[in-house]
Amino acid sequence: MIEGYKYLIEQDALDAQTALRVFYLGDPIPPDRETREWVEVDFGTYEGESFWYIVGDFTEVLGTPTTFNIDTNG
Amino acid sequence: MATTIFLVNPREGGVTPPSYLLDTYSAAAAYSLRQLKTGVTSVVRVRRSSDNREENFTATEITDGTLTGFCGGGNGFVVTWYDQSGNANDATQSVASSQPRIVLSGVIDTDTNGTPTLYLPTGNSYFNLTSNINEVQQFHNFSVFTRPASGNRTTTSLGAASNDWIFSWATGNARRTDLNTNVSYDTSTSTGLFLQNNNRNSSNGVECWFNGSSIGTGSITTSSFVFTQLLRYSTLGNSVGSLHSEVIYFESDQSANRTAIESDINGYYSIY
Repeated sequence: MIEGYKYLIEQDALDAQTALRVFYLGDPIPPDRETREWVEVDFGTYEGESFWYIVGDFTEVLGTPTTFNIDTNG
Repeated sequence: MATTIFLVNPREGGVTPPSYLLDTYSAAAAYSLRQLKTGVTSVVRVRRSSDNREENFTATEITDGTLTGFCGGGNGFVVTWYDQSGNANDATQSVASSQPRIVLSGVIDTDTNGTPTLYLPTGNSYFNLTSNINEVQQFHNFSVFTRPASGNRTTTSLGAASNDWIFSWATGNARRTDLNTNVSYDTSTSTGLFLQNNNRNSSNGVECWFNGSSIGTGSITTSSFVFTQLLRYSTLGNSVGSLHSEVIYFESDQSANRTAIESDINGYYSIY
């Protein structure tokens, strides 16, 4: 089980990623920094459903996270 | 008037410069918090949690207080683990929440012997390689890591988000070499600090050693595979809480040099 945020529309996930980047790293990010995002957006599937997701608890920006499963390799 | 000239042998009485492991052996990629080769400067680039500022640090600066001074009482996360092989295949992580940690609350993360190491705070902590490593036949990989006592306890050195793990201590305690197809050597519940190395030779034979002892052999005929990431096992990455101190990858079978390389690594980390 993953704790995080699950999105059925990719743009919604990217908007959430942007909100976290602006909140934690600033806008614009200072040019001497190599850290460019606060979180990744990943694509996953589970039981035939496809979705995008962000891992972690960012209650302050995105609200209360949920838990969900994804198919994994290995 | 006669002039007397004194000839001085500059070697006599001089200071012998230190030599490093990769001054003797030529690796394709090498990541460590100690210096591995003459001429190497920065070994890591660290982001501090207080204001997200970043700076590069040498191996000496990790242990002499410079790094902890930079981080203050906060945490430090590794943005770049520089390749010390000379091939500039740096391991980078530009996403803050996926960066391995090196300082916690002003204290360097260390292994059980007190040697600096990288701590993976989430299952999504890993690095991307600057250049993919496309391997077709022979390799030999050495890594120093700590397998935690809890969590899923998976550990991998070179890997990818899908397949192609050079070595994995996979779910179910399976120790294996995985190049799309895998050889499983055994299942082991051991935890702690390990020096692991494994190879594939010119005959497709694979073998894996732990702390100087072979744990098994096999054969993998996969003709090509691609490593894109470091410390990545499957979609979820390595185990939370695993520690990773060193990965040295050779694009050739180093069986003839294995014991000497193991000796150098163990001499520094005191693993076994």
